[in-house]
Amino acid sequence: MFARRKQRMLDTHRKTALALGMPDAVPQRIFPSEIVNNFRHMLTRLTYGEALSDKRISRISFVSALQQEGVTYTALAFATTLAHDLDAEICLVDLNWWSPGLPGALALPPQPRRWWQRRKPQEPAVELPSSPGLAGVLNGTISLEEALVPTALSNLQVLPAGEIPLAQRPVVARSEQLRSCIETLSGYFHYVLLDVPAVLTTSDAIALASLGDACCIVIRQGVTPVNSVRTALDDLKHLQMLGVVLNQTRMSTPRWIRALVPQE
Amino acid sequence: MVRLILLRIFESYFRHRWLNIMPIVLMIGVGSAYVVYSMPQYAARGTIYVQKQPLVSALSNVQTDFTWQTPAQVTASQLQDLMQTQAFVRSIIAKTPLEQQLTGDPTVLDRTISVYQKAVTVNTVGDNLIEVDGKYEDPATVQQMVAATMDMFVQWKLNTETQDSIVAEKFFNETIQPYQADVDKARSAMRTYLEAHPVPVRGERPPEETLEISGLQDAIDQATTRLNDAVTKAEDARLARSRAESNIRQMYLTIDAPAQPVAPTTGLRDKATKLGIFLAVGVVLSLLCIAGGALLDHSFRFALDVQHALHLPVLAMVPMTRAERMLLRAVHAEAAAAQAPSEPSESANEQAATEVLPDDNRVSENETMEQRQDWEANQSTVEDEHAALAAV
Repeated sequence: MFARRKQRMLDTHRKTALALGMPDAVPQRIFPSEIVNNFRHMLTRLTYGEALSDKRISRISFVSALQQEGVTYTALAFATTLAHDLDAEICLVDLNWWSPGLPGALALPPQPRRWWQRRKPQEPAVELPSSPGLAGVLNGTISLEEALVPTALSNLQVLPAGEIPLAQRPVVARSEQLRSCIETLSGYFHYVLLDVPAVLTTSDAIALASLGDACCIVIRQGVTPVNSVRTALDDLKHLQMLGVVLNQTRMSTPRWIRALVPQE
Repeated sequence: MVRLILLRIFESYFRHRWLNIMPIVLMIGVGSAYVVYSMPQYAARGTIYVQKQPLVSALSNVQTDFTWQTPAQVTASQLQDLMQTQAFVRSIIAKTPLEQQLTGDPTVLDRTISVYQKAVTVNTVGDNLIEVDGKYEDPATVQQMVAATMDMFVQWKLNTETQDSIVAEKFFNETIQPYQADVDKARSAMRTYLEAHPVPVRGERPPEETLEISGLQDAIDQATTRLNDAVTKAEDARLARSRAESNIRQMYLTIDAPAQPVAPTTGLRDKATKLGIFLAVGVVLSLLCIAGGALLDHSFRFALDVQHALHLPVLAMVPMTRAERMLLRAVHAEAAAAQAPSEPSESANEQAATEVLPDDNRVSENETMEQRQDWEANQSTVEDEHAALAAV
């Protein structure tokens, strides 16, 4: 009975889920329908809320106050939804040289483990095409076109962060070269999504987030303290803030009780 | 704001539902154990009627003093104060079966006194009645505790009220004997003098004798007066003591002497009440846990939280789901299955080989030696062919 129910659930999810992977390969990420629907709602809201409609905003920075909030996952899911739903060219740029998220995000999700089991290091399920990424572009090793990594979705490309020495990161983050590189990408793509490191871990994140026209802050539900987010928002107050993405939400209160207490 | 608080409280409860219910469950468990394993309690009760003044005084004197406290309240307060003193409690315990513990270790003594102080309580009923209640595991002990408390209190009052009379009586009793000796001595001196100086046959006594006799008579009179005075005062003291005793007996009249209880007081209702108290404490603890969880949680839980704290719209609420893992597993399994028919795996080949090649274990005992020799000959031929092919 459970197996049949599980199969039915899988079939339901498969119909509306969005997959992401390298071209001609087994997908490495499948965004289930409940996640896609949320990002579709976000997209609709931004499109009809005049944020994306008049093309004033083509570069969106995804930021967070602290690390491990799920910025890369959120950016990846939003980019996939955007690429699937819109007839537009999308590029996801990883600017997080401190902990590059794209290789991990394109790996298989970790296996469930018990509390006594040790966490095993996560390996990418499929080797990403070796690319020096944005770092290679900035130091002139490769061209921007060569650094872009195509995905199974023809209108979505990703630009990995690459490796930049720790001492050079502040210089690079504030450099005109990086800005012109992002602006060049804006010319190639309709939408450029920037995966920015956590604001409270490095001040370079503010400079990196400023490369976007607007900003989305990712908050992990039940984990990120209010004060940390407020501090991060104070740092980013010069940017246009589109809104908040509450990540990894889990409501313990039954739905019927939540229905009794209106939230709008 | 109210909606947010409500939501946070609900979330705090449902997030750790079992943890929040745990205090209630624990307290019910502890309460049940307490009810089941607690010793049965026996209750005894005595009642004392308290008058403000003795009957005679109340009838004869005009009341001039006024107090807000009733006689029962004053007496109950005195008794409660006395019950906190070690000497009073020791004198009570000495009249109960707990007496043996008075001679033991000081710790045991303290514990015994504490047991008494917990067991016996004093309450007022109306303006003139006080009730002395006792609850203890042993029916005889509790009855004796209450009775001794009442007796010792009255005795203590008697002692304090008659203390002056007793001292006076003792003092005057002690003085009567020397005074009597003085009288006897004066009389003896008079007798001796009269014997030595009899009345002359003719004429009167000489003036010196008359003067001496007069002096001796004065001494007798003085000693007698002093003796009579002491006797009178001793009698007055005795009277005062009797009167005080009588007054005390009238003021503190035992209406109901405590009887030995025959059945324990811990009935079903009492047990249910105790269990209810434990349950209430558990509920309070649970509520504290829930409220504490909601208060100490400084993270974002709801879209309302974000709107309230940051004044920003919530674009998306990405749920935590396991569907992705399941879908990926299914997709990878399908991909593996699609590759399987074209490239048979090594394990499949091995299995096929084991099915084709006979194993030593497969040679049953019924096989003849000839069949085995034939097979070994064939096997060596095949190996030779393989070696030849490899050489080519």
